[in-house]
Amino acid sequence: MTTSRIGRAWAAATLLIAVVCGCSVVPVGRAGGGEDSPVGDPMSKQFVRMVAFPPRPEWTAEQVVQGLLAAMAAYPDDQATLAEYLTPKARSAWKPAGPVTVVQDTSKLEADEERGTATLPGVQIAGIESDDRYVPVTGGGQRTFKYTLKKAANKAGQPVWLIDSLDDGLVLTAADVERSYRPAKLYFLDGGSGPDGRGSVVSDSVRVRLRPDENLAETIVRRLLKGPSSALRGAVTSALPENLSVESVTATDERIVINLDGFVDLASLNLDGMKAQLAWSLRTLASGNRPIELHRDGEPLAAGLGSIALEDYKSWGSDHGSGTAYYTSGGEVRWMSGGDGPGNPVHGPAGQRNEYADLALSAGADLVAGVAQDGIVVTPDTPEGTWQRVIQGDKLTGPSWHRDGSLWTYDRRAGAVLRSTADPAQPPTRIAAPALDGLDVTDLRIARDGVRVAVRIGSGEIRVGAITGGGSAMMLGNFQSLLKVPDGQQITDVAWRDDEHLLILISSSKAGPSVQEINVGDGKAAALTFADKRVKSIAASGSRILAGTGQEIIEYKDQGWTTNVKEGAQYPIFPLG
Amino acid sequence: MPPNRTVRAHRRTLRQVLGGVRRRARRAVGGARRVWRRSLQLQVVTSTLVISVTVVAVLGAFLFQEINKNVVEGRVRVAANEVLNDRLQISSALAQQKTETSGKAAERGSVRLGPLDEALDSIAGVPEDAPRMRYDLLVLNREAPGNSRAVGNVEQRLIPHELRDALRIDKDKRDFDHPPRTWLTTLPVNGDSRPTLVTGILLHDPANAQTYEIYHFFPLTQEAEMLSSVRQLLVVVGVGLVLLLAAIAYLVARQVVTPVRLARQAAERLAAGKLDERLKVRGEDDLARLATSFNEMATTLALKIHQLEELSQVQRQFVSDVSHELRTPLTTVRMAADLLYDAREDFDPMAARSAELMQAQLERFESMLADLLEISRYDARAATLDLDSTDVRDVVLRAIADSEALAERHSTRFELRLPNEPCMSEIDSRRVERILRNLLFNAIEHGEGKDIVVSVGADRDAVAVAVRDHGVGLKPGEDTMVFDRFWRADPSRARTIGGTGLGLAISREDASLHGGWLQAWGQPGDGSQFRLTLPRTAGADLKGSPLSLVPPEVEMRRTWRGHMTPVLSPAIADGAHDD
Repeated sequence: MTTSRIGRAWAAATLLIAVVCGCSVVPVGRAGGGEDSPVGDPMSKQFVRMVAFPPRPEWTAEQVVQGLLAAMAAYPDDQATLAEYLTPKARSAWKPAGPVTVVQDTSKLEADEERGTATLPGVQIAGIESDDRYVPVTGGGQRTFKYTLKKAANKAGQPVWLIDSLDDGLVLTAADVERSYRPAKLYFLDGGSGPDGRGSVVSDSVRVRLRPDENLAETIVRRLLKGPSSALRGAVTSALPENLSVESVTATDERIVINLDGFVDLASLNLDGMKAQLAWSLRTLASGNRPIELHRDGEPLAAGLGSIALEDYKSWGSDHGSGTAYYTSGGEVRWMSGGDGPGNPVHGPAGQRNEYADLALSAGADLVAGVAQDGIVVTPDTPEGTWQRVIQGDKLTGPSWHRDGSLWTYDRRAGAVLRSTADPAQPPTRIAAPALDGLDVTDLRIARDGVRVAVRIGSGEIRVGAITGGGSAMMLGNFQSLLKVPDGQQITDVAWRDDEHLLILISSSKAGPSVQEINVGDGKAAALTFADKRVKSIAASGSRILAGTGQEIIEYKDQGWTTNVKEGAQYPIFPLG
Repeated sequence: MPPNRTVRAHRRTLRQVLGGVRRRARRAVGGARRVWRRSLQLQVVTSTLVISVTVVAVLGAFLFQEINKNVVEGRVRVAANEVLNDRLQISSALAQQKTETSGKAAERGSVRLGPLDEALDSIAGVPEDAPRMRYDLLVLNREAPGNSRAVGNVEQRLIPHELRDALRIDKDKRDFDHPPRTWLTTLPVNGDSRPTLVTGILLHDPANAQTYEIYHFFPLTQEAEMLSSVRQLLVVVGVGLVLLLAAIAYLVARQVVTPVRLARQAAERLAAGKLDERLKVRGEDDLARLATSFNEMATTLALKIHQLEELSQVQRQFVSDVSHELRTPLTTVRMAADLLYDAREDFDPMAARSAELMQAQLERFESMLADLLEISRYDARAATLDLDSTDVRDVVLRAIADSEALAERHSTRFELRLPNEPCMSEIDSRRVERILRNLLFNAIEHGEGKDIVVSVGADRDAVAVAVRDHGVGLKPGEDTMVFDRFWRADPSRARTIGGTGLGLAISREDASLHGGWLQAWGQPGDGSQFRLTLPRTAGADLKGSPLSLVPPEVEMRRTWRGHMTPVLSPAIADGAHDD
């Protein structure tokens, strides 16, 4: 009896401990949102954001407009404060939707209190489209924003200046954008144009607005689910099911967990494509080579198949070329050797002296195309190869190889884009490009990702579009102007450096040639200058940029140009681009 | 109505159920109380538990409070430093802006940010791969538009109003250098409430005559987790300590209680008559000495009892021997006296009267001697029963027939109340007849000529005979003394029927030999009643008597009078249970 009583006492004591320990001061044993992120993790980096206050009675009209701009900056987080700046009339008339106008910070506000007006003569530097695309405005977008103010009673009944009329849409300063927007590259799938037909990822640059209640990764995944921006609409696909939504993205030292919500049909899901998209889109954030795990409603997706190791998806990126550079020397296509001396000519007829212009190399550098008098000719770089005409025409632009092995050109006489399979037996097909109708297209270059297309209009403008559709529905679309050079300057050459960086060689009668490197995604431009005024052509691949002067081949290295081939060289070539 | 009845029935059932529960609970409480009162060990362990739980709880609470205070205070101190650092950074950035004449503001990429943004960027570690700051920040400038910033997921409405009010008062008093004000609160974060330390401090920018309110939100999640685990540890340790103390108390109490329990059992056995019971003596401690003393006491007691028994034996033997020895000379004297008695008519009247007197006293002497011998047989436990299944009514009738002559002499009549069915019982009829005879003689002697009621009753287990007289009755206390040897109600009264003074004592012994009871009731003026109760089967234990000891008419009268007069409770003879 005594023993059983002791046993009962122990059991009761154990129960007591369990009960008392059960209720703790902090709930433990579950993910606490973004709090788990290790310190210094780029995923959970803080950002500074604007906090807006309602207008105050002692504020001048100018201060009220400044307050309105601050409220616009804070608008996505706090919509109520902006409304307090507006009279009822303005409140019902004003629409916040539409593209965001980005003006330069130095814009000086001019207010006339007696007439109750204020103007903001801003220099618009960019716009952020509804699809989050950041479009810089080049060439001085001087704009004036007009505000009409009125003395009216605020909520507390005090007389304050209120905005009575204003333009639709939000106006942000560059600093506002810098504070609360982050550039992000979303990756989508091309239509399987790669050599193995698996498809690869194509980047789409957007500016996402940071949200205080979620981390950047969550914002990016949320944006990724919305699909590509207008630059790539129709040209790329997304493997992420449309009905999915993001519950949370949490990071620990070991892994990043994306918790999705919504129905997932595993049978029809392109899980590999989806994982590739996520891996590439979150590549910069998943520092430390952490794997990404996909969960749905808190449970691992697809029984552990939802784990993404970033290394596995490296090959999904587009090929930036082998890095081997070529150049022409009196019509001969030559390898560029590491040293200063002349390189060896390639095999086949391309390595021999010929009269063809604008020679271009295919993805594997196994085919060489060039412009002849009566069309475009192609030869393999084998000793027994011969030049064969694949496209007929007397006013064709220089050939551009697509990564799928096709050859593209623009027939200036017919005003049509031609695509050839590089097989002499098959005639080229016309590709519809309604946006280019009636334009003087002087160059057409397919980007290395096989999706983007750059065209030169005349010698003063560059437009960038994309190959949309597939098969017989293939066409060129989504064209947007990338660069217009002012009078007195001429665009002499265009080359793709990688998927989204375009090098534009501009020659100016006064200042000499210069290279603009423009990110076609967000329009960011960087300029490279030359000491040598004879530069006529340019080629690039990955980190290498080569230029030809007609005599020498020079390379951009360590912020300066060094000579690679001293003499007898006309222009450099990289495969594709 | 049927529904009503159903309801009532239902209610009754409920009440019954409740009653049952109450009864059971009372029984359980009673059981627990009994266990509690009987177990010294349980009492010791319980008191130890109660005291140690109290002490541990008080100590634990105090300790936890101290740790809590220290942890939070430490965090507040660290936080205050960070707050002052940030304030300094913002303040110097704002001052720099003035000296640098606004044209040469810091640039990031192509975008120029204001000094406030620059300072906050470096605090939050936005531009470089700086460690993420561990707190959220609100910098509010209510006077100028566009000069308020937030870092992290905080909003104005999360500022505790106590803090806001304190800062407002500081601002009104222009007390810009007040140390950081702190406030502990919980903030909702992703649906959870997070313990947070909020601090507020003012920053005055004299160049622009603007005042910034800087609020820091330090999450105390780690501290709370630490405190939580400390509390768990304290609870576990406290409970462990209490259990340990209880176990120690249990063991210690067991060491003391076990010998005490053994001593108690030994004492009980000793009390039950096992005089050779002794305790084991181990060691030399207090308990061992208790055992030694107990053993000595038991030995002394046994010795004394033995001596007394021997003495008693000697006395009994002496009485028996004297009785036997007296018989032989008495027989001779008797024969001589018989001769004298028979020839008394030849004597002169004086001598004849002497012969008669001698004859009468000799008869009395003889019967006294016979009674003494009978009594000594009982004392020597030599009396045996000659059992036979007999109708008690017949025995009663025989005894009455024997007493009739005496009754006539006292002009006393018998009133018989016999049941119709035979009252069979296993008895020694000779002894029972003797008992009844004794009772009847006694009743005639003390009945003062009034009627004597003889009742016989029987039930399943027992038969009873009651002899009721209406004489002087018994005084309180005399109902047990009547059975003493040679006891006399009134020592001055002469014995008229020559009772030996041993009759009732022998009757009592006879009744005991049957396993029955012989009890007396009496009240002065109400007469007396003697009741003999015998089991139907020899050796069976008696549980009650078919007849009441107090005569029914007296009982009725007592009920009638009710509480008017205090009732003398009828004395009950030893071991008897009346119903």
